[in-house]
Amino acid sequence: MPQANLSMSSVSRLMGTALSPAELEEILFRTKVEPVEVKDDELRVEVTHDRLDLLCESGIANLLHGLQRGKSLAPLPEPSPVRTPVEVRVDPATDPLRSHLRMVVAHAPGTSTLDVDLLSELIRFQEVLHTSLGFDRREGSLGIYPMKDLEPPFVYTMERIADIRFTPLPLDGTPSREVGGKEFFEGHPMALKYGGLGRQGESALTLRDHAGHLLSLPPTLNSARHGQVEPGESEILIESTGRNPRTVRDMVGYLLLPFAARGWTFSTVALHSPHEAEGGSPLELRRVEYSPAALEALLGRPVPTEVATKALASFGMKVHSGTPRSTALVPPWRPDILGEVDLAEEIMIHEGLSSFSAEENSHATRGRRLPFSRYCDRLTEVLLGMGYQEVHTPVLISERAALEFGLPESYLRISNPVSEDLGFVRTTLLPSLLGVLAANADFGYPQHIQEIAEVVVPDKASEIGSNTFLHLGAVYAGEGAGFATGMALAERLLRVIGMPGIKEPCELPGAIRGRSARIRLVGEPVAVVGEIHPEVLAAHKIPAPVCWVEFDLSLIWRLSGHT
Amino acid sequence: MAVPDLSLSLSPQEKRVLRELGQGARWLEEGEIVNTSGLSPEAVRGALERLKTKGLANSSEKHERHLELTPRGKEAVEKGLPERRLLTTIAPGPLTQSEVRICCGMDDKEFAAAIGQLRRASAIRISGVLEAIVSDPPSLLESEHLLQALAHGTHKGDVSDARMDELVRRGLVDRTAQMRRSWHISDQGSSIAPVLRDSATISALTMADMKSGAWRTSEFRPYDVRAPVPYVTGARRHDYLSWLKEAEQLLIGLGFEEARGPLVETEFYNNDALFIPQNHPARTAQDVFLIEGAEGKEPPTEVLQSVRNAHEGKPPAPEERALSEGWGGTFDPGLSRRLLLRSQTTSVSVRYLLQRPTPPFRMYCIGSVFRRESLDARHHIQFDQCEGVYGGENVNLRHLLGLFTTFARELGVGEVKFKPSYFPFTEPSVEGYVKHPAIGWMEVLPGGMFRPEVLRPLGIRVPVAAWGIGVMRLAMVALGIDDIREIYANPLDTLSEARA
Repeated sequence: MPQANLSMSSVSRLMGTALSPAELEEILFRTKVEPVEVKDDELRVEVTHDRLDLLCESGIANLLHGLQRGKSLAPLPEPSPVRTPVEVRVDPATDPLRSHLRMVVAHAPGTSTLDVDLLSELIRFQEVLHTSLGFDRREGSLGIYPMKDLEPPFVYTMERIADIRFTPLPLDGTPSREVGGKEFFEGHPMALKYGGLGRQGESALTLRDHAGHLLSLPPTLNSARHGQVEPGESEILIESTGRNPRTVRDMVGYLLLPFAARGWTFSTVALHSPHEAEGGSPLELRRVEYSPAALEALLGRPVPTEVATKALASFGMKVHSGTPRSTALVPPWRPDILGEVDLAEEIMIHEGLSSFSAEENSHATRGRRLPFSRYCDRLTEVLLGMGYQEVHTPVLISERAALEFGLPESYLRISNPVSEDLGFVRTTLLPSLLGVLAANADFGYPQHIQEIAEVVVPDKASEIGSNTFLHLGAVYAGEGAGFATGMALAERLLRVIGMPGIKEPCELPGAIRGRSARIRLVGEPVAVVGEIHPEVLAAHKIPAPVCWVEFDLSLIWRLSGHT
Repeated sequence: MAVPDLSLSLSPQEKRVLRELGQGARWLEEGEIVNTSGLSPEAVRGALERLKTKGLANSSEKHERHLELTPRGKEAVEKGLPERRLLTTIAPGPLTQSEVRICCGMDDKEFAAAIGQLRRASAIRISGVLEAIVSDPPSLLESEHLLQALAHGTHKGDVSDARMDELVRRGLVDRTAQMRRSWHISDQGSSIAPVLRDSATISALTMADMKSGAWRTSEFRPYDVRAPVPYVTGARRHDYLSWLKEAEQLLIGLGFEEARGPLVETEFYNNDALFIPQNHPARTAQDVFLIEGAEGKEPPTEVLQSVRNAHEGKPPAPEERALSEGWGGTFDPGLSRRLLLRSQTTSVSVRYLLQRPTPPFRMYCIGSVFRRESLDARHHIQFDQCEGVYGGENVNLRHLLGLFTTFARELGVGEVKFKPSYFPFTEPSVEGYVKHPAIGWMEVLPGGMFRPEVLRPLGIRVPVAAWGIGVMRLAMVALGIDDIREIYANPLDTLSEARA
């Protein structure tokens, strides 16, 4: 889950009070935040994927403030009086790369300006959003700019790299020099990491103002001349570009929270884009309707109007009560509030889960296992009675183990295994059972083990490219473990199954030639029996002869007239 | 041990050998007993050893060095030593070496050896011809005497005699070591030998004994009950699987019916139908196992379209309003066909709900799921989930909390505390934590109320509580397992040796 390091003193300053680590832990347990570590001033938090707003100091302060004092720190964004309407034009040429763009201007309250606290929070939060929601800038990225030197309207377009002159924002405080676009894209560390997202062939994405000032090369880096924000600014341009309109909208929405928690107001930047209808505006407050009756039904207890209104208000929402449905206005940094059920959860968190008493289930339904499961259980019991110990093994096996018993095309293969040892999905239980024998080679003999578990067999005709079958596998290791022992066990199982099998010779990979057989029921191959080749046993360091029996229980169940 | 007991413990062969030892009351060698008892050497040897073990006979061991003629030695006894034959040839008068060799019929090696022996004994002179000086040199006489004595078994001398060593070196005599064992009846043996009876004794009672009735006229040989016996193991259910069965029984008792589903799923059933955004981080190759080179098929068109609408924020059906603004963007049916190892058993719930069960309904599924986790004490790439849904009029969050509380209590995992959580397909969502004695609080009971964006496209119109419990973690608490990997370790000693 996403994590961030936050400054506790900054959280305290925003809340106007300080919490002890114990108090913090207790309150946060009621929420979707997990305090991973508190050390000196640093608070490391982990949050659920839906609450990225809590990955900044303002988000945590806003949450705690709401829970403790019943009031949100960050009011719903109000339209700010704007001297000159700001516009941005998106060139359709940006379509192949990242055609979606959203902008908002943030205005400092009264005579205050951007302080170090807010600036460092913005920089940290921006990076957290890049990594999480932005998928490392691929889906969306953010940029902030000082408005005072810029001349709207802005233009977001593609330009020839050869024509670009750019002074990169210094990464380590060292002043940078102006470079050509080619030099930047070929040598700058940020360009090497993200340049591919913002260039195509000989062209790259640019964001300029009306005067032709280059603000940034999205999503790679801001310009040092017109994209460097310093404390003392009173108007900040917030911009996001990306491939997904919703992501682009939400990234701006999240970044409004640190401003809103400090009383900043916002104004819209009019968008002229072929995609302006997609995704919505970050400042457009979403309206989520709900009915108190539905909340009550979901939570299982009465939710009076005033309780719902108070709870939602404490988390920064504004309620317009109505009958039969009310409406909640949701701030831009809460894109997780999609519908009525999300509001129910807000109320649940506000009231505290511990205040919800557990209720016994009241409906009468008949519980039962599947007949097939009961059938498998009976076979397990039969084998237990014969001294076969039950084992439990994983489904993924190594390539070496897989190819010992089958051709590559007979397996489903994992395209992204965690290791070479776990790259194939087994089609038989034998490799797993031999693994158990190998792990217990020092235990003493004879050893009898059994397992009823899944195997997966490729099947192009199937809806899911394969079939999952339940197999019964049993191996006997020790003196006298030969083909006849295996067949005797198979015959015993056939008697239990109650269906006569027809034996036929076959050659099974891993078995001694001439010492393996297939058993058919109603013409279908349902089982195999074999004496394992000593070469295989030696490879597994198993110092005893082994015979093996494997039944396809799924097929047998079907053949016996069940579905 | 009392004498009668000891007597009963003797086999017929042991009795016979004991009688032989008792008769002479002197030290006997094995061969003598073989001759007098009529038993085979192996039977006598075995019986003597057992009698000694039982304290009825004593043995004495003497290590002897034994000398015997080799084939060449036997030839020398018969034809004479080469040096004797040479001396005899030249006794009448001197001869050249060629003449001697022809007359004696010796090869070069034999001739050279004979010359060497006679020169060392100063018995010949070599000056163009060979001439005898002494007819019976003492060394030759000694050698001839030793060979004769060995040939007639009368040799009693010191086997390390220098002359004998020379014969051994010349390959005429073989020197071997031999242990001679003698046996004598012990005092205890003497006391029971006179009262031994010849009635048959039975060691292992056989079916043949039963069938013939021989056991009626036999005595049973008592065993040493302290002797080691074979190590026997038994088969038991796997501890963890057995615990799962208990959990299952609990759910069945609460009215849940079982469902099963495939391990390989399409993204549609594993994610899309669960309203998990198509760009959700948990859907990337960093988190799930994708199947190489294969693609699944699309679900029924109307279901796919409904799910697509929910994702895109459109009404799931023409007559309805949008359930929410969805995830925006464009839903990609191509991604829906991608195959993966299921990352949650909630895919089984989707398939179950698609069958439109009649409310109220309760379903559970216990099965493996797969996630690209780093292996450690708490994480495994394959683990089991206990999936469940409970749907019906008036089903709500408190029913889910009640179910989790009951589940934890009945499985003996102790206190549960709940924390809000997040799953894209449930809202509200909670996570129940239970306390592991070594690891601490572990999140094992995740669940919530299915979102309308999940239920409506599947045609479900009643509230549904759902959960996917990490049963392996719960089992770790209940069974005191410190490392999740132990569950797949299968050590036969502990699996088959648990106490009742």
